[in-house]
Amino acid sequence: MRRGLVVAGVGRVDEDALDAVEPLDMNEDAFRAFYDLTSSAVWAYLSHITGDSHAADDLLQETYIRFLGAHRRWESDAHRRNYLFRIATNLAHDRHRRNRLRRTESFDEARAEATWPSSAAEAGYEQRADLRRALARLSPRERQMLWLAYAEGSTHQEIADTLGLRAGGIRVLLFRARRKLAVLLTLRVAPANVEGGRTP
Amino acid sequence: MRRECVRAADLLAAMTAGPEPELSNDELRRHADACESCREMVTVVSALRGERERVRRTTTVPSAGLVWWRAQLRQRQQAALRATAPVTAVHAAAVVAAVVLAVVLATSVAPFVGMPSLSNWVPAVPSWVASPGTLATDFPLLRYGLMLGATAWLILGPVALYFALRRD
Repeated sequence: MRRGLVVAGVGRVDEDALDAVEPLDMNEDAFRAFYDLTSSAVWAYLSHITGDSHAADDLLQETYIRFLGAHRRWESDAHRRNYLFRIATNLAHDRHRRNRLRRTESFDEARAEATWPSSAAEAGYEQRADLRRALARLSPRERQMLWLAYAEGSTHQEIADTLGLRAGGIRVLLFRARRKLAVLLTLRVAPANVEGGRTP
Repeated sequence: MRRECVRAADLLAAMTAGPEPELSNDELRRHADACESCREMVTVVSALRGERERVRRTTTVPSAGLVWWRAQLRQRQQAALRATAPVTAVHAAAVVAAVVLAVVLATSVAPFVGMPSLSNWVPAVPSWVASPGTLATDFPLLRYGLMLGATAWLILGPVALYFALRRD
């Protein structure tokens, strides 16, 4: 009888052919340590640039799956971490593009309200609601830059690498985005429906 | 347009030094109270750092084991796709060859069973392409060969297509 394995979407494949499976970039223990160290930061980034914690769960898993299959050499821990955020950014960007084609909102404020884990009784609930509304009024790029710079503490060069922008332009873009968010937070903006961060 | 304050970098460094976004340096705090650009920086950094810390404390992410398992599964699927790529190409070539053979045989046999040749529907097609059966008229042995081929195709064609298109 033929030795083989049935793979979903592919059919039966000889086991000998699967000997050519490339090993993942890390062993399981190293991956678990790296994941424990970085996953909550990547999840926070994804949930705040998409406004959807369920989407953040899915994108987080896909980010690490692609990271493990990347087969790259890391110059440093920072390089490895920045690459992780770059994958996450690209996945969020693809999701945003798909949502635009389907004409659904990329940052759904109501969904964010429902899915971000917080309750009215929790301390700082109002401030978080203000932040959520303010972020909803920014463009995806502005949300990404602000989060990387001020929540993650990334340098301008790291932000440029992660977002695929020129490092020289980051300072000005960040300054404008920061002013915009500061004004929105100070004004305590009312809820609004947004498409890709643009106010209707 | 207002410009960024020269103290902005110091302010950011001071606020991102610890886990909580606090401005413990009195001199910098006094400066931030008086400088609009730095006040904005304090507002934004406090909000975002505070939110990040809250998420870090309260969020439960999918388990590392689940992600590891899915990554391994993806690797195997990709290896399987690579391994079956040549077989898929042969399948596609077989289907194309079968369709071409069927058309050639159909147009060859058409004159013998009283059906109009392809050139009747598409006048621009040269007669030898539209009806290779004219060759058979000139060469009688070829005629029997074509008839035999058409019969074989009618019997074996579906079997070949089944094997070409089936999935285990």
